[in-house]
Amino acid sequence: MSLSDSLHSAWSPETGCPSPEDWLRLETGEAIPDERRRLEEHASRCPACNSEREMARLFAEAPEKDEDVDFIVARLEALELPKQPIPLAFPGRRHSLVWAARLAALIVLALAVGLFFRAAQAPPLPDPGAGEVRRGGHLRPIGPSGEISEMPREFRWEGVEGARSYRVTLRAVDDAVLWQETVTVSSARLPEDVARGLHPAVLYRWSVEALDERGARLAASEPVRFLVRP
Amino acid sequence: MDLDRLSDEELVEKARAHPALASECLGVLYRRFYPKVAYWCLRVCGNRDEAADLAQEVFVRVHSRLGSFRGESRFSTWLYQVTRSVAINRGESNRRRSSPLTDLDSAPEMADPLPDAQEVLARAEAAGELRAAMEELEPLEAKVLYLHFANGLTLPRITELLGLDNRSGAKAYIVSATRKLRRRYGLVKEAARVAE
Repeated sequence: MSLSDSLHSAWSPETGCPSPEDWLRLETGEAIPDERRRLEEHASRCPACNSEREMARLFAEAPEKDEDVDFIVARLEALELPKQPIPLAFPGRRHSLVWAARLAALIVLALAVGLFFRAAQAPPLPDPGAGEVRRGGHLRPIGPSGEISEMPREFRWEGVEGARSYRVTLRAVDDAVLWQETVTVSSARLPEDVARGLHPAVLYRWSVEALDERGARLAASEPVRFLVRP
Repeated sequence: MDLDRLSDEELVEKARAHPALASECLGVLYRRFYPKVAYWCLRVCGNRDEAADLAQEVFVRVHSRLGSFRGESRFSTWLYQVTRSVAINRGESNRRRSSPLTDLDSAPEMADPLPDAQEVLARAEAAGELRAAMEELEPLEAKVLYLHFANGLTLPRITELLGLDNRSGAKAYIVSATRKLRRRYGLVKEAARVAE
């Protein structure tokens, strides 16, 4: 792992730091007062986040007009992009060949992912027994997990002592956030409109964080993978 | 319809709903952000040709990954994620080109981007060590180190960005930071090389 990767791993939302998007929201004035206070306080004691804030500030501030910026804009205007980005089109127009190709790709993907899950499931990790020391800061997700037969409607996890709320996040394989919600119980229902946007045979990941009364993170789960059988 | 009156997110939605209008909608949307991305790239790269290349790469990536924008955040937030990610990757590969061999770089890459539990644990422990080591640095040393190695900014850019007016600028902070890290955290050889 490179130093760059190590630094990103050491200061990331997974280790309790705000995300780059949080810093952008702070710099654009979109953060609510409580969040603003929390972020300001964090930046004052975290040099890595201070740097991330610097990067976000540059993006948030109004661009100065000068000839170098004009030069780059001219280069961008000359850029020839495809008429339409491929994934932008919704599958509303039926075309038998396109659908046949997609179906074939899904079957291949499902087989590959099925094999992957089978390999990943053995051997199972032992559960910590009563009286054993549990590593602090971890949160145990319950489900959904692995290959499932139908689209999940709910995410569940074990509660954490002292937690006032839980933030659950659903991500696509490329890490794009598909849905995020903060709840006060140890489960969250997936909204219908989000569920409708999920596809069988596609791998998704979800994770959950336990937050205290100030919104600071007490514990976090590891990402859990799931896939709905086609 | 006057597309200029639509919000960024409405333009994406319209492009999705009306493929015939996609080009026009996205043209309006991208043009809104050309100056912002151009300015950011210029501040990060310093050199306008390099910044123009970076900005173009950003919009190529934006265009090809627009399908992953689901409208849960503002378009500008998503654009920032993409811009930052492209810049970091580019900064990292530039730095690797200039110093192709380091012990850390020669380690095999992970085959699976989703690490197993043991790996997560090992990484968390390494991350903890690195955090502890960085906490011993002066805030400005740590900030310069992070901007250079994590955000991919060159030392002259950091000098300018942070308004450092000492004789050797950001390099002085990298040198002192890496000396301290080397004492505390032997694995940071990539950083230590810069100091030599």
